[in-house]
Amino acid sequence: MRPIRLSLVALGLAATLAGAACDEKLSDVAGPTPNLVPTFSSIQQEIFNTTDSSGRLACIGCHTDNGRTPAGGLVLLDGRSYQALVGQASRFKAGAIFVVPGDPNASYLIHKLEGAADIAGSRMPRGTGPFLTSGQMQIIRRWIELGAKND
Amino acid sequence: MTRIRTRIACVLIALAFAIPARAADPPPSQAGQSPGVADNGERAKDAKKEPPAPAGTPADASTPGPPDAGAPAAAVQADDPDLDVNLAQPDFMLSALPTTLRVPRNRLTFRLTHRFNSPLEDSGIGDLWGMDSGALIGFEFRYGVVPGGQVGFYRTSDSTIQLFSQYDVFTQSARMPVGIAAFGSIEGTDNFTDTYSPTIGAVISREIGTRAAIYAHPFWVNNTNPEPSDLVDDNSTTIIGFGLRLRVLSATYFVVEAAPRASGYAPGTTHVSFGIEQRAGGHLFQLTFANNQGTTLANVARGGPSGNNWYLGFNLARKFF
Repeated sequence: MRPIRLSLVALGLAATLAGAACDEKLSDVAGPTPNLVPTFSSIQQEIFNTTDSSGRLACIGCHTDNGRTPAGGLVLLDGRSYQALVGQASRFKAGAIFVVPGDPNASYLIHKLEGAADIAGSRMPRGTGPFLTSGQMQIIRRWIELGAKND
Repeated sequence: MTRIRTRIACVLIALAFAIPARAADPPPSQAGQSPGVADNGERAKDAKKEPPAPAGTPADASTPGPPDAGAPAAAVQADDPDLDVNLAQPDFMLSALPTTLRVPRNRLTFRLTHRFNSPLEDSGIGDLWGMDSGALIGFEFRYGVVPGGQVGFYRTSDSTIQLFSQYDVFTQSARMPVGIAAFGSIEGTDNFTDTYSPTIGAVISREIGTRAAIYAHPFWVNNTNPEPSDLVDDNSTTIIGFGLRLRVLSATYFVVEAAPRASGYAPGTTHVSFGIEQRAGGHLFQLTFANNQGTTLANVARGGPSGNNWYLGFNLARKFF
């Protein structure tokens, strides 16, 4: 049996190595924010706080109460953005919830970022662009799909 | 992990089987094989033949020589049963799934695959049922490294390269009802520089006399989902393939295979293929109908497009022995 067992061990080792090594890189999907992963802290840092390499403006440029009235009454600063988004209703669109845990399609945040037809006001970030890439949107959607945790 | 380290790690799965833990003994006579069957000029298995002489054994001086006493005694070649035609398993592949047929040591085989691009529903006699629309073509070389162990290289015209190896763990015999081969492969797109999908599993076969062989292929195929695993629920696919090769005439076969997804990423429809083939000497020509164009294992695992699309294709195989 020993030779067969050795073959099976080799098979198992090879499978482990192969499984760990063969995956598409999230950084390739994340585009101008290669460190973006589907966690809230990463979205806070890479999207809300940061103007990325494509020139997309940081959200907290307008969504802050530091020295100005926050745009749309929405503050996206560290430590306050999660409570402002998850399960919270939009002031300008009746019935719209910014983030519905588990359901990105129902989340108004996604509609605003993608410029869906049903949004009130402008697509975000405000202006003519650049907007979030499809890869960045995919990662934010995945965060919501996984339950929109404060992780 | 850097790209170079990634490639090295992925190639290890194929090499793990290229160096077996033991050299397998030549298989016993195949169950139910008719002795003395000669077909299309090829040697057929003969259950009554003498056991092979060890390799390199010179002719015994005491053995009566051939009638031409002036000719020098030739060295006796070891008889490798893997060189014989297996009427139940004449080829190393069904359509896109492997069999347990062993490649003889130090021998080479070649295979060409075609899957025409236009599905039959969108074509007709005017474009010869898709032949005018081009094809996804592949070529494969397969080599017997050690008795029971083979390695291979397969490249398709969409620049996917698949490296594979297979090792005969159990051979069907009077005491073993099935043959089992361990199988491993790794494929990479863009000439093996991108999107790697390794496969591990087993090929299980049961020969039914010289008339048929049935197969099961429990395979795990990793990285079948083109999206990163962080973004999806399933990044791999487990298939339980099955197949049948039925000898309907002396050298004509009907072949069918399918690869249902047992778990994991399962887009589209389950891979199904059927066809008819003719064996002539060392050649095998197979006309196939499949519900997808996939010929590598990751593509087989991903299945075919939704809807009733069937693609005409053919496989050509040649044994260089």
